[in-house]
Amino acid sequence: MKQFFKKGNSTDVIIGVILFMISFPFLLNMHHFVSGGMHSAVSPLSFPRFVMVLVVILSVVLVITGLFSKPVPTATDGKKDATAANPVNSLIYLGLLFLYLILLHFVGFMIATPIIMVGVAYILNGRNFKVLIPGFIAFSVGLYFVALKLMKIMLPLGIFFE
Amino acid sequence: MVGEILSGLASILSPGPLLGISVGVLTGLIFGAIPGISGIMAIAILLPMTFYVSPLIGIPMLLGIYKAGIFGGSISAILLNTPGAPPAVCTAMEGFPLTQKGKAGKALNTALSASVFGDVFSNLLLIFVAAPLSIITLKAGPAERFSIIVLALTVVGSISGPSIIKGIICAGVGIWLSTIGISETTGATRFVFGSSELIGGISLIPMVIGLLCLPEVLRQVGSVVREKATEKLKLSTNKDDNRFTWAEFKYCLSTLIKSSFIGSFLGALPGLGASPAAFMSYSEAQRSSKKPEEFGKGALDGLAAPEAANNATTGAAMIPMLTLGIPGDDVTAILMGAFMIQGITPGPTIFYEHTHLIYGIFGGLLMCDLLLFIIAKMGFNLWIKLSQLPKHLIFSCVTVFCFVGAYSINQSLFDIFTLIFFAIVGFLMNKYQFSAGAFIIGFILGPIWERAFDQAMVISNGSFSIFFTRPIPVVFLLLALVSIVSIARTRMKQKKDAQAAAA
Repeated sequence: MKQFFKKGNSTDVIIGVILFMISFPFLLNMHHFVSGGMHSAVSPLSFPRFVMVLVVILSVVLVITGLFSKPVPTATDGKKDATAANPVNSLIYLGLLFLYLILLHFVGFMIATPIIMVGVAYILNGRNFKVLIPGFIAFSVGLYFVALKLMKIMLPLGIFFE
Repeated sequence: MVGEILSGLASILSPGPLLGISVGVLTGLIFGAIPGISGIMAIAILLPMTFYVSPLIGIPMLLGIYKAGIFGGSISAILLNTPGAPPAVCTAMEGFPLTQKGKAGKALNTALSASVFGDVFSNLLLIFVAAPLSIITLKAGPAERFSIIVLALTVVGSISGPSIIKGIICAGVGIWLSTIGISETTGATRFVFGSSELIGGISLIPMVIGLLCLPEVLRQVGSVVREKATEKLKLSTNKDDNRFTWAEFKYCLSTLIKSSFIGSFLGALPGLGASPAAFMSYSEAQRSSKKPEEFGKGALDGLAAPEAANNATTGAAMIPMLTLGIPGDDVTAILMGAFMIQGITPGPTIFYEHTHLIYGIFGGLLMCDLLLFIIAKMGFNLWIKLSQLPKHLIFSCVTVFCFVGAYSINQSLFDIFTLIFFAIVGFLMNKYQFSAGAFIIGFILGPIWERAFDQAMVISNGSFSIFFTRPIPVVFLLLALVSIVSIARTRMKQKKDAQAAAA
């Protein structure tokens, strides 16, 4: 079996199995996730069901083709994967995105934005903080007022300051 | 009708649309010139802004970004030998040697003139072809619209990357996600899983920004290495090194015309886009050049050819979108989203229901070319500086712009959550070669397809025979079948060629 997987495209097989495991039970239980609506010649489920049947069939096809095909050469084959150079940075960046969401909720745009910008600049090797911090604060304040005055968008103030 | 057309064309000369186009061109140039970010990211980020202005300002602004972004991509290709996108590879091959010879200004001027030439050519084609073509497709009923969208979805086969199956899965999941929320036909609430935030459906804008912008930032952050201090580039002080002369223009003219034809033709075919146009026109220019030995060493006709061709795809790509409602690639899919945000569905009826607007947009396209030429020419020194901006400044600003863009439509933090969710999905899609473009096309076409399907079912009392007994739906379904077979055959041939080359 191990040998067989070595020959096939194991990534496609795994993705196909995951897709099937999500889409097939969902297809069977689709009617539980619809409520209300008026009587019509067309059920509100007929179109989504048609699409989901397509996804289920194609996930099976993906598994089968994955088992019998060779791994597809990627753009990074033969050289170092660019994203693999510093994967920790990608995870830190993702963490910063979630932190930004939380900070926007609690302390609002004007405080959250310079903090996150400094964080992003730091992981990208920006170290000139004497210039960066005032610049990021000015950028945040400027953007806040541009959004407010020109587009009438009230960026989050944060529940601590509302 | 003629009055509407003329007033539409003239309406673009008001201050609002002119300002919108200028902002769009400037933004496109900035995003295009900076390596690592692109015009499509700018379109995604500025898409919500179109919600707050009239369509006559918002849509030409996005078109300005689209066109200027393509030329902007050539700036870093010429100056730094870093093509930001595949179409700029040929530009780098001829432009960078000119920069090394101290003729960066000449290379930039040649690229700009060729880009504007290709742009104007394809815009005129769009203006003269789209409206007559829409007359043919005007009489489409729900069954016809359904089959046209089936044909449109075969585009997914061309843009789906290495695996056509993965592309169709992406489009399928995109279509399914578009069904979340209230059903248009019955009013039933679907797949909201108890969340009141999902009743209105998933917002297009956070999804598009999440799929297209943040994965690129994630990739760049993951590949960061300490940047070496590079030598600062400057334009030559010798005027002759910075000019694209009339004699040089005449020498390149036949190449410009041929490349614009190639670009417009390939651009009008859904799914092909700028890369094949640039490569094909470059190879044709080399074949027919009077000085083929100069190619690879800074040939002006070699630089002009891909530039004219890749910009000539922009106007032509709008022909299938405006006449049939078929977005040919991810950029036209987002532009289609911009129309839909304004309550306008692209398709054959748009020329009759929104004549004034459509001809205003056509006028806007021509104005984009003029302003692109003026703004780009005025700021060569600025583009040179921008192309050398440090990554930590660029990506910290891009992150904030993405959040503001996602938040601005509904002013809801749930949209920010959607943005982050789709950023992760987009990153994984890139990593495992699933197509974000196919996903977005599915999401945008899904509601239109469902509406056509439901209406056809109501008319036929639930019988599927409506799709197979009328001539037009049958023709489009057959065309879709032909398209799928031809895409599959091309892919198999490419695979065989690649295997033969590897052996």
